[in-house]
Amino acid sequence: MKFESAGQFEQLVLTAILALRDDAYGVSIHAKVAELAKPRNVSLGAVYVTLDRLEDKGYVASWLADPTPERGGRSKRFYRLEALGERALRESLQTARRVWQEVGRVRGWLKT
Amino acid sequence: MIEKIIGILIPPACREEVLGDLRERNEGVQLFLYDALRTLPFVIFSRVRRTTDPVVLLMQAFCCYVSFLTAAWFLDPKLIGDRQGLLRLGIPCAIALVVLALADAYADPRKKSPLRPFLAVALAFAAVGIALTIYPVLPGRLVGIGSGLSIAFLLVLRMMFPPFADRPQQAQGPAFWQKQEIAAAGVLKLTAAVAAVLFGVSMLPERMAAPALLFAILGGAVYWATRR
Repeated sequence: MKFESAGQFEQLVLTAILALRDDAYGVSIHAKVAELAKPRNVSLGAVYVTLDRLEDKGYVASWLADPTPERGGRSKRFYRLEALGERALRESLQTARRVWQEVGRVRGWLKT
Repeated sequence: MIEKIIGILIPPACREEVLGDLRERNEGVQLFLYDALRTLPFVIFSRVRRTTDPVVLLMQAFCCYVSFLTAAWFLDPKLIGDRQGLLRLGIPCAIALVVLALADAYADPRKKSPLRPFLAVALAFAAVGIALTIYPVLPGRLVGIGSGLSIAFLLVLRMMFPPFADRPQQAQGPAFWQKQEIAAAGVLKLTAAVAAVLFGVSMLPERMAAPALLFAILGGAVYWATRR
């Protein structure tokens, strides 16, 4: 199976799921992603599309919980990071670190 | 009332959680409606993407177009010679494929029915019939025979490759594993490129068609050679 790296928005959603642990569902993920993506505006629809794509790639798994009254008796769909998702996030982090070090070295932001 | 209408518009596979999220985020009716209308296109697009297998869709498009082409060949050969004719033959195919994709997206994965693939095809060609009755771009007899042939082809195809929601799910397996793979990578892109070139050339005046086709073939050959 071909391993696909995660795109920038996918990285944000994966990070949000990782940070929210057992409370990662649509509304909370959207709020966390909006916080991480500031000053960019993030729509709830874009988060749903990305969650579906991440689930198709096997990066996250989801399940429906019991209905709650504050949601009009509707269930929440919770998300959990899978091993492939962790790997994608780790690789993205390593790439970002390498980019940061290279830019810092060239610009003299980092002391060698 | 508004929640019920929005609920009908959301594909059943994700209706529960999307409606719940919208309800939790929005207190008033206006905010709920505004948020729902902003979210709905994304949800529908995502569901269509998940339930549509591009390779099967391409096969369906090919079968459908060949059916209408065959019907035109026997009933109205002048249509095939006409520059706009080949384009007009694609209209019922496009309508049928859009309705089929939406029918698959709106199928409830919890309710399994052996009739679902056939009902979706019937719905698609009912839509073709209605659309071409209102706006008759093709003769009625041609639409009837072309639709009949297409239905036969599509039923066989959908028996061989059932809609995505009806296929057995792997435990925790990534969904894209279940989609058809093309052995030679890029066949889909190549088919789309050839179709785009032929369509573009058919739209040009006759004296420009041959040089344009030659130019496209040369361009394609250069691209292929440099890519290798």
